[in-house]
Amino acid sequence: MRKHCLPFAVCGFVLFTASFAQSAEPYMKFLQGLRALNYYEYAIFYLDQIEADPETPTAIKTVLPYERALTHLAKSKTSKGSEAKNKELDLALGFLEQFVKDNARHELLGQANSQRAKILLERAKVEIFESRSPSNQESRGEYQKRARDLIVQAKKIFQDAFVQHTAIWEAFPKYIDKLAEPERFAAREKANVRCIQDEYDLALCSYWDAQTFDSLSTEQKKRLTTASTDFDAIHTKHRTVVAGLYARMWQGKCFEEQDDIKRAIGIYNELLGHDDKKDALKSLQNHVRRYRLICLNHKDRHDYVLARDEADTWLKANRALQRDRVGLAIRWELARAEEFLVDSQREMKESERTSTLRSALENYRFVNRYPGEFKDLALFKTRELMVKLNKGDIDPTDFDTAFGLGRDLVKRIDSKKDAVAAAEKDGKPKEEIDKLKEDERQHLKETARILKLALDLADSKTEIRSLNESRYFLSYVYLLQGRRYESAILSEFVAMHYSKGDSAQTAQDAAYLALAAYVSAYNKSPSEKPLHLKLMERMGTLIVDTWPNSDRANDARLQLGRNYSDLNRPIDAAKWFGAVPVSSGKYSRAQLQAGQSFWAAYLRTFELPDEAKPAKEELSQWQVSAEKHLRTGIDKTLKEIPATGDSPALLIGGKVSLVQILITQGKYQEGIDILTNDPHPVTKAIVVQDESQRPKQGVKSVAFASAVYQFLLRCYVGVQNLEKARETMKSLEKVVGGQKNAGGEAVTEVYKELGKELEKELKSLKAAGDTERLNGVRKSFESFLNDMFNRQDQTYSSLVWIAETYFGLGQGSAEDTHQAGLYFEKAGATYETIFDRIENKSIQGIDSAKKMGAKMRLVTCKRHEGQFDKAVELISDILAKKPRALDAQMEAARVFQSWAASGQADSWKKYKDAIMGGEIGTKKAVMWGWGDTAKRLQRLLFTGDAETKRKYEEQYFQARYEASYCRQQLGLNEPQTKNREKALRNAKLEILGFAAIAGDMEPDWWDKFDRLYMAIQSDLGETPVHLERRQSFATTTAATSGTKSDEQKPAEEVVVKTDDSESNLGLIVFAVLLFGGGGVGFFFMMKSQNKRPRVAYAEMAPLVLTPKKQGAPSKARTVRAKQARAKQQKPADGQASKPKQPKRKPPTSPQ
Amino acid sequence: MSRALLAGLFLAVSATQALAIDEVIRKSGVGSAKGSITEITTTNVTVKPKIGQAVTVPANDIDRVRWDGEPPKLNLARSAEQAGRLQEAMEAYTEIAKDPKAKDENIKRDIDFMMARTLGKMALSDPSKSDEAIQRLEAFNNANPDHFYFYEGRLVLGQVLMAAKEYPKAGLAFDAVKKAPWADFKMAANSAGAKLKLVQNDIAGALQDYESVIALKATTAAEKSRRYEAILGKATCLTQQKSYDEAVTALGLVIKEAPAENGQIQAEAYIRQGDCFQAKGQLKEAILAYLRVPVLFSKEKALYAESLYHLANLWGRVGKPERGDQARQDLEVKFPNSEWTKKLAAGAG
Repeated sequence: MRKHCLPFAVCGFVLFTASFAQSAEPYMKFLQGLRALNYYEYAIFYLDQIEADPETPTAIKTVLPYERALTHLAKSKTSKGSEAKNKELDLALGFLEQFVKDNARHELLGQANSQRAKILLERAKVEIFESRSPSNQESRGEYQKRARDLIVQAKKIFQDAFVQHTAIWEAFPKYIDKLAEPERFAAREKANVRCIQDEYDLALCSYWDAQTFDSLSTEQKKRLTTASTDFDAIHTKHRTVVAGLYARMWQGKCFEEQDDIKRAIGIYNELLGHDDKKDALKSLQNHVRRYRLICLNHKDRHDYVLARDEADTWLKANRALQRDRVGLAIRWELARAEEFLVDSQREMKESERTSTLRSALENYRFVNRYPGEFKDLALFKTRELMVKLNKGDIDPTDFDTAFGLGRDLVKRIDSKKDAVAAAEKDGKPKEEIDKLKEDERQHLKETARILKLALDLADSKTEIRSLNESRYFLSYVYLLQGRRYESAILSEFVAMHYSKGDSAQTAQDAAYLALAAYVSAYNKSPSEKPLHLKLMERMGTLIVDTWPNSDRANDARLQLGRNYSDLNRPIDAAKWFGAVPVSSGKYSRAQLQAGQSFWAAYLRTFELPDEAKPAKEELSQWQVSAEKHLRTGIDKTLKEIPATGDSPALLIGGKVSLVQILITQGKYQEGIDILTNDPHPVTKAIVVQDESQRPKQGVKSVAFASAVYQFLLRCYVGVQNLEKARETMKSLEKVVGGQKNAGGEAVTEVYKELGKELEKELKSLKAAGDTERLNGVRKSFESFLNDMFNRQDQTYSSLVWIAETYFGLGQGSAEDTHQAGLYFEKAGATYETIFDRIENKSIQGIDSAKKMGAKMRLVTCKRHEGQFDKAVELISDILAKKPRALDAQMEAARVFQSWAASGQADSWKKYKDAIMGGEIGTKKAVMWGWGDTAKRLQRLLFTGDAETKRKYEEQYFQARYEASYCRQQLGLNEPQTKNREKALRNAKLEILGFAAIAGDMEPDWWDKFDRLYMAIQSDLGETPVHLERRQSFATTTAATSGTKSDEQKPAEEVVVKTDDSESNLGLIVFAVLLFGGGGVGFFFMMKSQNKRPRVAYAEMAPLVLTPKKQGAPSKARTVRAKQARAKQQKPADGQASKPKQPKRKPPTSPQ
Repeated sequence: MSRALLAGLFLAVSATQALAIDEVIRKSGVGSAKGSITEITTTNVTVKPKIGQAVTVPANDIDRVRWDGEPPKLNLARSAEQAGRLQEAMEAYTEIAKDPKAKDENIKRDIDFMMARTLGKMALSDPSKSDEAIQRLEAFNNANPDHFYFYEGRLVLGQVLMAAKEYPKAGLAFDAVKKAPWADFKMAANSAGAKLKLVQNDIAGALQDYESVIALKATTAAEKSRRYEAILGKATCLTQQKSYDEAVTALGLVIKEAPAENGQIQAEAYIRQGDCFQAKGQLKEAILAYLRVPVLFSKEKALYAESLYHLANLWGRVGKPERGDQARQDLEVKFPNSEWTKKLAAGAG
């Protein structure tokens, strides 16, 4: 397909900018100059400067979106690849839409609309070209349809523009004296030109519409006929202007594409017959000449001699244009004519045949030498002709040929990769995909061989630049072949030795390729990450030091930032992100990522034990840095993108993190503004049409959307806006409750998480010593909750929120046990209110799962209030109904653990119950205890898949840890020295045994076990040593799962049974991930969704662990447990009556 | 000029009086004075119109004089010179000088001066022309001590001498200009003197001199222009003293207030801003400032060359070596003899 030439000069804004000619800063002239030089990134930078300058005239500021659009539009023309092109076109379209929306009466409105339509047409062309790619043949129809849809939109806008421009033109009087009123005359002419332009564009839409159908299909012919008629009408009306003649040319093209060669040639001849003195006409005729040659070479015409002679004559007469697009196209036709000539004249003498083919070969080689649409095809033809000329398909014998061939092979790699990707995407049979993969492998092998050959053929005369390019290409191929080190070594060589001179650019690219090779190695070998990170750092530093301001340096900074993020080293990540300079086009992105990294670092400290936490000043500095970078990134991004259209995920994530920060500072109104105000409000970015169809990742995911509403709710509480808070709660409930299989329980869980967030907020303020704000937040919540509670229109969910918020206040007030107790009491009272209202039917539609969930929470409240008897009765009731509910079992163990730690007389003995379990409460329900819970989870993990591991590993570690911790506490509180030592030794051995099989435990868990282990050693009077990491958990779990112990039960088949009525929380995993464990931050959530999430207590409500043999928490076991307890309950001496206070608290206290 | 020569000149002028229609075009734009030029001094040109009283035009307000009977191409050559097409102007002047119509003494003197001035301008970006420029300017000044181009001639001579590092001689030339009766020339001379100190690293002295020029009241367009030049000089001093922000602010004021069509002032202001940004490490801002010159003020040749020099160096530093190569190529092709070309070749930048 050939591109058409725009026969008009777009001069609208020249007229517009004339009014600014007198201003000292010639804004538009400079901007146009930058665009003319293709310095688009500097044009955008200049636009940013103008926009930020308060002294810029308002009229200029008004047109900035329009100018941004023109800049992105121009940039799209030089962007490589459909994706990059479409990205620029999208931005241009967005800015134009913004301009049109904000300036309904602006004089540039019509042009803005026309530009919008042109962008849509450009995008349609991209789809059309894609539809013709061999790798897209299966989905050709989809591409064609998308193109058609875009053309319909473009056509509509052109039609509107035509109506607008015609009205402007018709408003002028028919006669204007050019001499008397030159300006008015010119304005009318301009209006006329715009009308013609619109007509022309509309006809072009018809032409391109035809291209959305298969060649020579009935549909295509029909549309080409329509287009032909449209072009004819334009030509008839405007035959005296160049636009009319262009229309005529397109009319000929329509005939040509319908194989009506005779009529096409007739039109081309007519156009070639015009006087060619004017430049514009001459340019048109050059295109026409090319099209005429296509016709002459057509099979129906086969006038190859004439084609050859005409092309030859033209090339001789237009030497200056030989390397231009049209010149290369004409030479291409010349070569084709020569080749066809040989093929068509069988009787041609051998000498003439050879000479003609040689000429064709030279012409193809010429075309191949320069960039253009025929470059690759010409190389292909060159090789074909070499064979025809008996030069054979043999290996090259000189560097230049080998290098040229290698370069061509490298270019074709993408099409091979695309073919595999397309087949995979389309779900092709495995055999077909394997065949394509094999084809790709062979291609890479051959490419590597040829490039290696080129390097072998190089000698002292070989141009260094080409030699280094060969090395670079070979390195690239090695990387694709998975030969990472070879790739890195080769590239690194070029990067280190040729950073100056002719190969400077190649050296820079090679350095980045070496970095990519190390990144690939890093990703491929998790066990060697530290080594590969070192290598990456070395390469990154080389790039940054050698080309500090280059795009590659910035890419390297971003890459290293990402790797450090991946390694959970956010401060290192922030350092690299923050080093991207303001001059980089990726500055805004880097700033956002730097801000997110600092914020992640800040949030992570909540998970750390006190002794591992950084100093207050440092923490505070991280928050300041996070805010600063996020604000900069947000401001900059907002300047770079249109006010309307899609919101980049990074921007939205940045806004949300900034709101989190503002919440910590009590700046609630600003938080609300950021979340809800234009441009790009977060609340808009998270909206979906159908709540049940939210994606699993990104800003529209349930996790993210839910988090946004939670923050918004927090802000509304902060400003005491009851109505808005209620509204937000409804939105939140819609998001969380709108998922498939999600019931009200999901909403409850989210409110629980909100309570946890509040707890963290209070703890954070406490840690910061900000008593004033701490009290302020408490009072603000109390007052808000009170108002809320007193409303008559309470729902189940809103009451849960109130209860959970009181709960969070209680958790966050640990330093004031009296106050905390009051909050827990209120939380419990609210839950009891819920039960009352369910009973009296003022709340309806609450299923058993919800009731159970609420009851569970009441247990926790009672535990915190210290009403352990009541808590035991409640949990016993739950376990009697749901004996295998994991969360209930864990909560039961916690009740006993908390009871043991309460300091009540002999309560320490309850540590044993917490570990061993037994029958509890009046219902005699079976409690597993931490020990049995851990074993069941271990078996589940052993037999389960990766998803099972992801879900239950955290609980497993928790149960293991608490069992050991309780054992330690039991030992510490044992009155008899002998028993004490035994218990402590058991605790120590338990940890040692566990550490031996859980070598790949997450560092934070490992640290917890390590600290406990060292504490136990101290308790035993030993010199503490650290735990030693050994084998991986996965392998050793399997290896040790068959070992026997006293407590081992018969092999059980552990089944995760999902009770339909309760399995509704899977979708909030990410929400829990967000807030659990200190809320790792949105950036980290968004970038690594695959990371094993932390699973909080609340998530486990529906899970049931079912032993294979029912009754396996068997009588025998229960009896053993009873016997054991009976032994232990006999105090050896009177010390038991005075339990010791725990020497140190566990890293995480039971909830 | 000797009394006899002066009398001769006066006579020569008088002899053409009856038929001549000369035209003195004024810088201040108050309209040209047409008629016969009856008197020429270092400070004035007197024009007697056909009707009415004689008009005296101060020499500092003379943009150019169109002499009655001058070769038609002379005006084209002047336009080429004003547009910065110096080589073209020089070739045209040389050709016109051979024209029999240019034999008239006044025309001949005018051409002599314009050739010397053009050469002087060329020498500012091409030191290989310095010697010839200095020689021609000195010759003109010596031969025409009472000509209305006297002070302008001295000023251009001083600038060329300064570029050629002939500092004492340049100082003498500027001192002569200080004696001019007009504020704008005095301001120009003082600024030139300040620059002379600056190039000899007396930054404090230069700054003081520039400040004294800036402090003067500027009412006419010419005076304002000189004031802007002084602000530019001050900004250069501040840059050298590493007071970048202050310099950028001062330059921003010049850019905002100086007329857009005053390419010389505007271009230099942008270049100095570029210098400040570059020194501060704000390379993108620096590039944008330097780019103003090739895009908007390419006729300011010396400054154009300077901007290309900086761009050739900076593009590579922001990862766009191909653009740097293009700037280098432009500099080498367009200004092969410029000090900036040599500096770039020497890798001094």
